[in-house]
Amino acid sequence: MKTNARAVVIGGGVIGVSVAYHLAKYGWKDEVVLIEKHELTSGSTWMAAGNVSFFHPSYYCTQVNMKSIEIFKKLEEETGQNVGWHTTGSIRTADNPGRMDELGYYYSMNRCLGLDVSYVTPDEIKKLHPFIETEGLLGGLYWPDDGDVDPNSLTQAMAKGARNYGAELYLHTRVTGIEEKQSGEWLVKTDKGDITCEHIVNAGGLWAPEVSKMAGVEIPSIAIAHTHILYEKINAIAESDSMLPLVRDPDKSIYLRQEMDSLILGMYEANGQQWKKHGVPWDYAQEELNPDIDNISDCIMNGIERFPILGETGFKHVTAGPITYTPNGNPLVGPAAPLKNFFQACGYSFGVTQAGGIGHYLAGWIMNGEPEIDLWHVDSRRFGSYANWAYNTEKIADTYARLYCTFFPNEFRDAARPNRVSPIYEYQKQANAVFGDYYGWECPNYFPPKGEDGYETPSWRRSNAFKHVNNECKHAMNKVGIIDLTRFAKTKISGKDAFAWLNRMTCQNIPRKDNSIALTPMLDHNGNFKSDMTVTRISEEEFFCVTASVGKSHDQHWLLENLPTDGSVSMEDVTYKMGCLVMVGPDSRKVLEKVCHGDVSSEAFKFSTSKEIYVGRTKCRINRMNYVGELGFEIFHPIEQQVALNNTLFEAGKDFDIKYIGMHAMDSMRLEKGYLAWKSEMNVHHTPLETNVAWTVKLDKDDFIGKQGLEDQKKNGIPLKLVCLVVEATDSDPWGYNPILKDGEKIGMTSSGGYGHRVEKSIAMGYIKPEFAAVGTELGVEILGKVREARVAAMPLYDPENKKMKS
Amino acid sequence: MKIFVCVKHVPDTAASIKLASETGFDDSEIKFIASPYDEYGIEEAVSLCEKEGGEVVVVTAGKDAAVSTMRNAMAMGADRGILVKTDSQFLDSSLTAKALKAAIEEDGMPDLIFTGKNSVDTEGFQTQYRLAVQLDLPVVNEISSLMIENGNAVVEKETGGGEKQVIQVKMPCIIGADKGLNEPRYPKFPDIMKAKKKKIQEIELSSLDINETESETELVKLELVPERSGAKMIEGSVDEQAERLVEILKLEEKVL
Repeated sequence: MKTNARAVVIGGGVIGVSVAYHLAKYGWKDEVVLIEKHELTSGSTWMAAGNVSFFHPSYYCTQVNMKSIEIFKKLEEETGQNVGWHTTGSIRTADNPGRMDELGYYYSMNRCLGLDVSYVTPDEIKKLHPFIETEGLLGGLYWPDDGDVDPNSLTQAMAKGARNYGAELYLHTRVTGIEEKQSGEWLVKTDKGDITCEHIVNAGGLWAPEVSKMAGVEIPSIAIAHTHILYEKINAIAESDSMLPLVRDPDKSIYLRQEMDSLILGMYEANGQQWKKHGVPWDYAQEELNPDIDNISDCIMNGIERFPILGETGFKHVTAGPITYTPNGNPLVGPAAPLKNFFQACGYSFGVTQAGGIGHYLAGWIMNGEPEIDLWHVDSRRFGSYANWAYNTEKIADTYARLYCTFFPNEFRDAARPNRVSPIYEYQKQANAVFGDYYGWECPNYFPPKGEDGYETPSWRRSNAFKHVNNECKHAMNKVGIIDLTRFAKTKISGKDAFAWLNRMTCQNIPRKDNSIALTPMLDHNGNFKSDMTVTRISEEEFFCVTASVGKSHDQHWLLENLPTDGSVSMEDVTYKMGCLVMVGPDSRKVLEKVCHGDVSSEAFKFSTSKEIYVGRTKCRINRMNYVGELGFEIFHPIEQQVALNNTLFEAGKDFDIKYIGMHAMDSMRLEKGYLAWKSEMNVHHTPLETNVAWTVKLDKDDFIGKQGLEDQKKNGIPLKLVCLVVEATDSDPWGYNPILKDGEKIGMTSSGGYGHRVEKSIAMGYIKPEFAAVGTELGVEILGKVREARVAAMPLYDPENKKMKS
Repeated sequence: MKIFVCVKHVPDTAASIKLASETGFDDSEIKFIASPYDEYGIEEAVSLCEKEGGEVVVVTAGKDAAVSTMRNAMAMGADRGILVKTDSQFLDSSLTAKALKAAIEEDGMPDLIFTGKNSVDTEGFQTQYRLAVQLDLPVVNEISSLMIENGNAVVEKETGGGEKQVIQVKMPCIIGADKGLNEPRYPKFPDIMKAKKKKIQEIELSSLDINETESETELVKLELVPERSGAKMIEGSVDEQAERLVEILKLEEKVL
C-alpha cells in the first residue's frame, strides 16, 4: 500500500470511482488512490435504478448530467468494459397547469443548453409508451437521448479506466481517521496503513457524514430506504424490438422504466423511512432492507392507475436499499469549509445520473482550483451550521416526499423552520410578515394586510403576493420603509497588513480614507466573479466587510483559504453579533434625524460613506447606501439591541407612515437599478468587465487575484455582455435561464428577472453576444416555452443618475 | 380439495447475519422470505385448487414476524393461514412437527400436505418425516412432479445420474417439494392487497398439548462461517492441473 498520494478518494461507489478515474485520467495518474472499506458499489450504487437522463431542475446540474451521458457512451471504447447503456428516451408528464408551467421552465432552460427536448401531447405519449393510460394527462416533455446504464458495470468500467491510468484502488480497506499535518498535508489513516496526501475527496456515500466528521465537519446527509419494484416478464415487452422510454409521472410520484423483458417501478412515497440516521454501521454492505409494502402502496396504486398492466403483473423482486439525501435533495460537492484541500462528493440520491459529469467537473475543480461550470447548486457550502443532522431529519422527511413535487421559484417550504430569526421576528409577525427562509434565516418576503394572502401561492406566474409587493415598492419610492437584512454575512478584517491583503483579494481600490466604502467583487484566479463585497474602512488596520447571507460559508472560506498564515491579517465572523436594518425611502433621513445623535445631512453624511452614530440609545455603524436605489441607510447594530433600535425607528417614523418592506420588493427594486445578484449575474462564468460593474475593476493597482484573467479578457474582448431587457410579459415574468433570441437564434440567456413595480415593467437581466447589446435592439425572451418580445434598455431603468440615492 | 402448505419464515439467503448471542442472531433488520422450496409447495397447492377447487391453508410455526411471510404466501393464492407462535427461530424439528400436527388436526385433516424439501436456514431435512410420523401419513420428499390420479398422488423424484423414480402415494400424504415442480408465481399487487385481508389464526405453542421440554435436539452454538480465502489458480496442462489438484486436496487440504 502506498504511503503518499496526491489525492485520496474515500469511497468506492460510482461517485468516488468516477472522481478517481477522472483525476487519474487528467494527469494525476498513479498519484491517485481510492479507498473502499468493502467492495466497489456496496453502499448505495448496487441498488440504483440506473436511470440516466438530462433532467434536473438546475441549469448547471443539467450540464453535469449531459456530461455524464457523453462520458458513459465512450467508456466501453476506452476501457473495454460494457456499461449496459441503452438509449431509451424519457418522458416527464404533467396532469395539471402548474406542472405544465414547470415543464415550460425546463423546456426553455434546456433549450439554453441546446438539448433535444419537445413537448408531447397525451396521444404522442401513448405512441411512445403503449402501456400508459393517458387519462388526466395534459401533456409532457420528451427527451429522445436519455437512457439507462447498469450501475455496477459502469462503476467497474471506470475502476478499470482508473487503474489503466495508474490509480490504485484499495478494497477492504477502511479509513479510521483523518489528521491535518503541520505541513498542511492530510494524513489518512486506514486499517491497512496510513497515507499522506495533498487532497482528500469524501465520496463516502452512506458513511460520508462519519468521514467528514473525522476532519471536523458536520454535513447534512441521511439515508432513506428507497424502493423500486422489478416486475415479472411481460411478453409484449419481451417480443418488442424497441425499448420503452423512461416515464416519470411526478404528479403520481413514480417513475417507470424497462428492464430487460419487464419494467421497474420506482417511487417517492409520502413517508420516507429514514435509516440509521445517527450513523450507518461500518459493516453494512450491499444488503437489502425489508421493503415496507404498506408504506409504498399508494405509489404502487398510482403506478397501476397510470400503467394498468402493472396490476396484472407479478412482483419479481422488490428492492429496498439505503440512499443518501440532503435537506433539499441535491448532493454535497466541492470544497468543504473551513478546510483546505478537502472536497465533498456525497449526499447523492441520483449518483449514477451525475457520476460521470461530477467526476469530470470535480476533478477539474480540484486540479485547476476553479470549477469549469458554476456548481453552487450542489456546493456543500450552500448549507450553514444550522443544517446539522437533526435539522436534516426533519427537513428530508418533507423533501423526500416532495422530490417529485412541482418546483416553483417562489416556494418556501415550512418543514424544519424557523431556525435563525432576527430579534424583531415577533414584530415582523405582528406586521403580518410572510416569511421565506434564506440560509436558515427567517426573513419576510412581503407584508400583506391582516387576513389577506398570508400564504404565497407557489406559481410560475405572478402570485397573490404581487399586489402587496407593488405596494411595498411604491412605499419605498414615496415614503420610508425598513428592510431587515440581519442575515448579511459580516466579517471583520484587521491587522497590520489588512489593507494590502484586501487589495489583493479584490479588484477595486480598498478605501484609503476612514469611513469610506468600496463596493467590490472578489474574483477567482481566472478573473471571474467569486463573491461580491462591501468593504467599509473603519481604520487603517480594520475593515468591516459585508457579503450576501447565503454565500457566508463560501465567501468566508475563500477569505480563510487566502488568509496569510503569519498573523498579519486576522478575520472575525461578526454575523451573529450584528444585525442590520436598512431604512430606505425619501423620508428616511427625516426619520433618522429625529432620533440620531449626530448630523446626517447630505453634506455631513455623503453617499457611499459610513458613520458610527447613536440611533436612540443604540450605537450603530451606518453605511449610506442600499440595494434598492432610494435614499437609504444600512444601519448595523449590536444584535441584542435590535428591538430597541427597531422601536426607536418606528416611533420616529410614525408621522411618515414607516413600514416594513420584504425581500420580494427588494429583489424587484434591485432589478430596476441593475444591481447584480450573487450567483445570478455574478458567477464563475462572467467577469466584471462584461457587466455594469466594470468600473470597479482597477487594473492599474498592484496585483490582485484574477487580474491576469481580466487583462487577457480586456485584450481579447468580452465574449458576452450583461444587458437589461424590458420584456412584453403579461402574467409570467422572466426568472433566469430563459433563452434570449434574435430572430429565433439563441444569442444569450437571462441571469435573473422579475417585475419592476416602480417602473411598471417586466425586466430581465442577461448575458448576450455584445453585437446585440445596443440599447433599443429588439430581441425575444422565451418564458415557459413561449417567446416574448423584448428590447435592450439603458441600465438602470430606475433613476439612472442616482439622484434619489444621493439626495 | 383441502391442502395445507407448511411454510417457514427464514432469513434471506443474501442477508448478512449478525450473531446476537450464543444461539441467536439479530433479526431486527434483516430481510426474511418464505423458504424457497416451500414456494414450490405453495404454487403447486394453489394451482391444484385453481383447477379442481378447494382451499389452501398456510401453516407456519414461527415468531410473530412470520406473518409477513404468510401474507406473501397468501398473495400467491393461499386462502388463509394458521400461525403457531413460537419465540425462537430455531425450534427442534420434532417440536415443529408436533406443532404443525396439532394445528392441522385441529383444523381438520387435508387431502394433501406440502412442505419444502428442506428449509434454507437450518437445512434439517427432518420436518416432513417427523410430521408424517405424527400424523401417520405417507411421505415423499424432493418431488419435482405431481399428478393426482384416483385418490393417489403420482410423483417424480430425481435420484441422481439422470434417473427418476415415479412413485404412487395414497392420499392424504405429505409431499416435500423440490425445484422443478413448477415455477412459483410472482404475486401481483392486487393480490398482495387482498392477502392483507385474509384470515390468519394464531395459536400459542404453549396452548397446545406439547411438552416443550421434550426437545430431542438442542442448539448449542451458532457460529459464522469464516470468510473464504482467495481462490488458487492452478496452471499447466490438463494432466498437470489434475495432478496438482489431487495433491492439494490430499496433502494441503486433507480432504481426500
